[in-house]
Amino acid sequence: MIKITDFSKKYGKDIIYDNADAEFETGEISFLMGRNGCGKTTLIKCISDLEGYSGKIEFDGRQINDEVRKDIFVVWDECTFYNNLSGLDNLICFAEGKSKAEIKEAALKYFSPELIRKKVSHYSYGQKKKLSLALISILRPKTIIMDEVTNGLDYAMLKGLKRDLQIRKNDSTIILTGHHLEFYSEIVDTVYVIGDKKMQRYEKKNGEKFDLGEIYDEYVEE
Amino acid sequence: MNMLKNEMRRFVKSKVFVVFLLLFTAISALNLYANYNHAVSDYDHYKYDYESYLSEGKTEEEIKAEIERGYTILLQDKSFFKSDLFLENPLQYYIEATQKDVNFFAPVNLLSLVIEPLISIAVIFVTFLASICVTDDIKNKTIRNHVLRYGKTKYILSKIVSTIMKNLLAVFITLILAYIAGHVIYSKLSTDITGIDLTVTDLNKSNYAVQILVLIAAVIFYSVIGVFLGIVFRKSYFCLKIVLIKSFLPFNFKYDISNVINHFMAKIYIFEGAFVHLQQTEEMSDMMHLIPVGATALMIAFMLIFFKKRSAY
Repeated sequence: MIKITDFSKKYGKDIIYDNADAEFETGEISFLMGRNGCGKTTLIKCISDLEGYSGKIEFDGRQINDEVRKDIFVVWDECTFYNNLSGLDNLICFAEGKSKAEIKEAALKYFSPELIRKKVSHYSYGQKKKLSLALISILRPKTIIMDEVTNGLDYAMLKGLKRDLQIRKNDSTIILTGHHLEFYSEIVDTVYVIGDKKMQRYEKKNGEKFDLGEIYDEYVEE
Repeated sequence: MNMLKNEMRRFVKSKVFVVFLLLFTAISALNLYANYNHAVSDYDHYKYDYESYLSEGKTEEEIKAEIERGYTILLQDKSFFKSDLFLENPLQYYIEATQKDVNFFAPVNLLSLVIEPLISIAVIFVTFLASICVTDDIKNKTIRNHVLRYGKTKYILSKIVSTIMKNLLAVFITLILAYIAGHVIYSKLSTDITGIDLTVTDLNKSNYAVQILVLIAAVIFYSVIGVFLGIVFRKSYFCLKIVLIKSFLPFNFKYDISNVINHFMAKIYIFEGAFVHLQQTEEMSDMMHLIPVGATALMIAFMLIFFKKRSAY
């Protein structure tokens, strides 16, 4: 579980969050919703310890440390791989402690043997996203954060992603952001609407699926 | 440690490594070749004058006496574009010039010969390589993965250490190659030049350690400058351009980095070699010109940081 308490963040004079609170439970898929530039990626950067903030962010009651770090993985909207290395070399580079055979086996579930040996600079946007998903399947982190992960993914990959997330949520804390609301509506358990420098939590009623479009119209557009 | 290992493995496989290795090697090879040609040219002058004396009917004893009498420089005009020299009784002058040239690249002096171009011209490349290495993760956004994995402090420390190691690796491979090339050229020289004592003076093998330490210190120093410039300017190489332009302007190399380096190296490391001959002490007072350039670069750095609200991540 990730617990955020009295969280404040500002860039210069622009206040993004002001004493906001949130709890992202293990076993749930949480969704961050808000307009462009409302601070979704900023929150992810703060959770990942990439940016400074005031307040407290705890992972199962612990502040971020070397052990916690090993269990977090973020899929960013932008590609975070070395363009001059092959997909396989990138996986080897970022999947420390895993054997080459294990990495290769996982990679081949997502890529053909020819493609995984090509340089990432030749990959399409969707293929780069796939590479991140392959890395998650190798690392099996406890905390998975995906920033606009559905962008660029084909139908088959979306289906696979949905299946993977539903399997992984049992022992992971999953946070998603994005604008592909029909896709997320089917899998999310909790929604946080970001606005007015706070995070407002919405939970499913009686196990029904969310209608994220409706929530967006009602709470974000207003 | 893991990150360091990964970084080095990645570097050795990269194009940057190959390109910079070629650049360093090219600079050393060019330097060796230029000095070899210089030595041969000075020896040709000696031979020509010796044969002129013989054709004038002088005996070998008389020529020997002429050599012992020494030489007089009648006119010397040295500038970047031309070099005029008029001598009286030039034999002794060309013997000394040939010995000096050989001193520059004799195997025992080879390290200093490699160090000399490295810390005068190649330092610019060391700085560039360091700044490319350190901004690599920012450019690829892989900085996010690394910082998340290791934390900022560990990441920055590993990045600086790996950048220095990458530079040292490239420079030391160049050093080995230049050492081998130096041996080949020196042995060729001993067959090309006869009648002049080519024994290298003022330096012995124990100086290797000093020379290697000087090389390491120079590479670390300029790598750190590169790391600093890379971190401050990230994708903008404006400051690096200033360093580059300032290092090669004006054309007579009055204020370039090699002058600074040779000046200080000659103080630390005194022998009849490149550092002593290449230093231009009379222009050192003009090094003050570097201060406004440095100040402008720093001012731009702070302006960039001030106006850039978003972080590198």
